[in-house]
Amino acid sequence: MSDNIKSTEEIQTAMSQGLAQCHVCNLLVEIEESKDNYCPRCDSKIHLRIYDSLQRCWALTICSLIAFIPANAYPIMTILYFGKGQPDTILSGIFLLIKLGIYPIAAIIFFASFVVPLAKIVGLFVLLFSLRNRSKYTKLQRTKMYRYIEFFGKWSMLDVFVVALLVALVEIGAVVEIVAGPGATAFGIMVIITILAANSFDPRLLWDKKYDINLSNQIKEEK
Amino acid sequence: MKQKQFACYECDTLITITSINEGEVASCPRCHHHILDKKYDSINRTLAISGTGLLLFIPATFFPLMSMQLLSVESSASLMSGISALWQTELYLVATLVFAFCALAPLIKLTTAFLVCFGFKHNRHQHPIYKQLLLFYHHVDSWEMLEVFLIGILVSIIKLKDMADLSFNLGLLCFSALMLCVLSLKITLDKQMIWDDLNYER
Repeated sequence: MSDNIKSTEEIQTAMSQGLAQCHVCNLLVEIEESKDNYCPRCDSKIHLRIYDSLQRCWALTICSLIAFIPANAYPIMTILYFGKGQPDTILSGIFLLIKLGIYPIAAIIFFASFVVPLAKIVGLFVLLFSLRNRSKYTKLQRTKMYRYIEFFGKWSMLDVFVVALLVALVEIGAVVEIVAGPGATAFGIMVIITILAANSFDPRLLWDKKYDINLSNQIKEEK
Repeated sequence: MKQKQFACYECDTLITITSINEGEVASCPRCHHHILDKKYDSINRTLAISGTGLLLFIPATFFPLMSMQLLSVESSASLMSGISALWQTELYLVATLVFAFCALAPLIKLTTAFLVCFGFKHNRHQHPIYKQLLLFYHHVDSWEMLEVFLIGILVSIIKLKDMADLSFNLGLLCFSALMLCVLSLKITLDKQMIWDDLNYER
């Protein structure tokens, strides 16, 4: 594998050569700084770096932190036995499962619905702060962190899917009924926002030298 | 292979890849991000897998995944009945999300992959419609969540296990197979090869 890759001793970035890679079809295109650039092959817009990456990512990360509160505070579903029952939030549902002794499922839901979204939000904040100040993590560690954030993103939808199935399955019958709560909506919104926040972060900013970031800002201002 | 130079999408390093054999992966020397690979027999495999997936799609979404029996009342749930139950309880957003992530996105992925590979096999892929199809594929790629839904099914099974008698239906088998088909598109579909083969002029 490594025989086929020739990299020069000094690593050159695409930006230093005035090139940018199309995010959609991977074509390397020369960027003209004064105007919008489009990929000649797939016609999508090409950016040297994701446009306004930091602003967007800050805004969306803060939004997802705010959305995290209703997602966990509102009940996600209510199980009614003979017309009686208590609404369950995600956390109280987990405690119920622990009390019933179903530990593996309690652990899965705890990780998918609570730890993953929280870790994503915290991780994005760490990445964003590390761009402003000197960070104790290396660039490689932070890139890996970003990769995990992107990869685990969709698993927090798990609980919403569980609610969808349970509501359909336990729909009929007066004995037991499962009703979905407003927490499910809040939860869905939160998952979407965290995925968008992770997508708007540009990991190449981690590797850019300070002056490179200024350069891309200059290009933005000229537009 | 037409394109020789690539930039790592995660750290912007420029690298020249002179040749790559089937089954090999090129990764970035600086951040180890996976940059390029060449897949075995991509077109035929993708055609077979996406065709299978399309055949499985209707049974996987409309057939009941599992059914529950409680005091002689039986009820069953499929993906679509779950979505309509959410819609009836006025959780419109959640219903839309589940529909988009678990039915629409996989369907679009399978259809576009099938059409693109079909066009490629018959050498008709220079038509601009294939470019649009590939773009479509790219845009829904990260929003498909069948595997999460499958774990959701398992979680619901264990949650309901003590409450009622559960039995599994044909839909669950079809759904699992559909999930495997959609996941294996990632392994078989060589987007880079198809893009490289499309003509473009400036």
